Amino acid sequence: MQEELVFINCTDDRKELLNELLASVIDNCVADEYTMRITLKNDSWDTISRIKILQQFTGNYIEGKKENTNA
Amino acid sequence: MKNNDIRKTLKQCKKAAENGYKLAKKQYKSLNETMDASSSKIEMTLAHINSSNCYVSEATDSLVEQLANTRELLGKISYSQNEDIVDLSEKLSTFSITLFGKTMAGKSTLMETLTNGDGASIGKGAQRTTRDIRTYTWNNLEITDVPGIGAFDGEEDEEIAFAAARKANLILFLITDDAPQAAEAECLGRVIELGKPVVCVLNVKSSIREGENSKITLRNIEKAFDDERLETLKNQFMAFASLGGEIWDDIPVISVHLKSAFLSLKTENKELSKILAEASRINQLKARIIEEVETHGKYYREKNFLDIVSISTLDIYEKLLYHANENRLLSEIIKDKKSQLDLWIKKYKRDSLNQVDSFITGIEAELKLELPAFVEQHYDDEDVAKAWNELIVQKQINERTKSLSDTFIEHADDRIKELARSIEKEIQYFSKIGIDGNVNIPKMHRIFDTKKAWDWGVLVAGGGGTLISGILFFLESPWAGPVGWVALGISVIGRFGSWIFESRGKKEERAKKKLEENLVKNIAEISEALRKQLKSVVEQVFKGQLDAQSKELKRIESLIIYLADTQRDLALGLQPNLLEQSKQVLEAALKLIFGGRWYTKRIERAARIPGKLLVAQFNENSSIPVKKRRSYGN
Repeated sequence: MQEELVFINCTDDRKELLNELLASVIDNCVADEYTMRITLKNDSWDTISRIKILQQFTGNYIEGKKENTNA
Repeated sequence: MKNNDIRKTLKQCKKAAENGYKLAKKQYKSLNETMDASSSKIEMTLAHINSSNCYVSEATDSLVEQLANTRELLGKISYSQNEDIVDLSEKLSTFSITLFGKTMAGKSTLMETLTNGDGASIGKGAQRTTRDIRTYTWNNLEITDVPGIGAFDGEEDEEIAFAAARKANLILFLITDDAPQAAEAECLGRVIELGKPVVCVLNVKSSIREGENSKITLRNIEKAFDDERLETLKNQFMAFASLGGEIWDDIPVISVHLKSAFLSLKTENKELSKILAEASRINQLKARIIEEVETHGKYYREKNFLDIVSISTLDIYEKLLYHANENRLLSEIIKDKKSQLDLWIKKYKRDSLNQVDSFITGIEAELKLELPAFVEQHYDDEDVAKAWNELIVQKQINERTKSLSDTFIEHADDRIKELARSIEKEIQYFSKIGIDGNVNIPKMHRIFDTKKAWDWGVLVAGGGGTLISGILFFLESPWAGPVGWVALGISVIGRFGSWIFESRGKKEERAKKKLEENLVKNIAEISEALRKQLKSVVEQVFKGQLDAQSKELKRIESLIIYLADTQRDLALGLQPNLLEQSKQVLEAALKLIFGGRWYTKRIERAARIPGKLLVAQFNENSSIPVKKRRSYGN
């Protein structure tokens, strides 16, 4: 099994990290000191993995939810 | 690859393993230092919770249980990491390949084929053949056969299989060309999450009869290898990945006819042996295994040690953050409910006091309405006090007062129970909607037991009962309270006024007026006494119970926030370990891709989801060596 290797170049600022990792799938993001609640355009394994990566980098709990397409 | 070539590769693999072992020991030591600090934090938090003056023990018990579970988990992780590192260190020279697959997938056949065995371990029919781990050597590689997965009642077998897989450098995952099963795909998913490199072996099955014409045999085997059919099967199996939002397209799948491969070794007919071996495509599989070892072996061996520490560290890091978040959400629910309760209490008090006023105004009006007739009838009655008391008893003032008090108590009790139910409902709701479905997180424990935690109505009823008794006593005993005392005054005035000096008519008028004045005064005193009693009930319910519940909610909210902060602190304590572990895996991967160590200083941090994604964050001013994504592993 292959692990995908991704290079990013940014500071530790969580906004930058968020953009580097998830910019293409973010619909909305609300954050406080502890958590980041993200509405996502998709919830593929790649997106979920990136959320978990962001969680490791930031120390925030990341709650990702797929946007309601029926709305 | 020749044997001496693989020996050379395996020597290099051993060096990589030694490096991995050294790094894993270092990581383990560092992680244990973090865990020691965590233990102190846990003990402090436990002491804080235990010393709280919460009287809802279910709440504190649940929080203590969460912490105790965390402490136990940390202990278990430390123990199992150490055990696994020691186990692996005893096999530094060994490149381990584990055969994984459902029962009857052909694992034992592959093993017998690779080791030129006698076929004794190969199963017949649907029986399980491998209940224990068996290890053989092929081409200086250690091949481990584990119990099949997906068998009925085979949980224990699966545990054994996964425990072996955790220590493997490479997994050969066997599937068959009959209908792919979701259970197999689920197991493959679990293997991938262990960060293990996988080569999928599709065992093509077509019956071969001994003594059969070799041309017919060959034709049957070639037919079984129909590309379109196998591609469909492969796609069907890989489609299971998409159900979990994953993509397994990059897992190599090697099709092989294991039975003919095994029979090729057993037949004495050299020509048939050659035909069977070639038709089975076993050599392609062998070549793929060797290629895998040669190209990625060093990385796999180093990573194997690092994964022992990093996978369990990531697991507990995610669990701690999840729990911290869950508890913080819970604290917000409780805070919100407390605010609702406080608002309701204010309204309750205001409404209750208004009700008291209306009730007393009504009683006063009723009694005053009786006055003209009563005065007319009793102005010269020696037993006027007795008659007045009888009238009051007839009006059932006592019963009506008690009923109103009960309403206050029941109303407050209902509200608290409703609040408890709504808190519980929301807790259950948000426990179910945790986003992180991929992480196996224990369900939130119930903080509130409605019946136990909020059953204070009994206490209120007891207190209220005492007050009502007081009212009863005071109303029923003519000499014990204001009613009796005033009634006595009425009686005395009736008998000893300036009765004898005035005309009868005037005397009657004066007596009636005096009696009426005294009765009005008495009604006012009764009203005041009732007001005092009812307000006391309202205050009792408000201060003794509702306010106490509000304060208890605040205490619980504070404790939950304290616990959430502790869990987050524990996670943040592990974060540097986790990032360092990922960085070391990244370094091993970059060594594989680019060679050398020029990149090390450029890496700021790395984070990793084993088997799926590794992200390297480079220094702000460094250029990224390869802009595009690179895959590594196989």
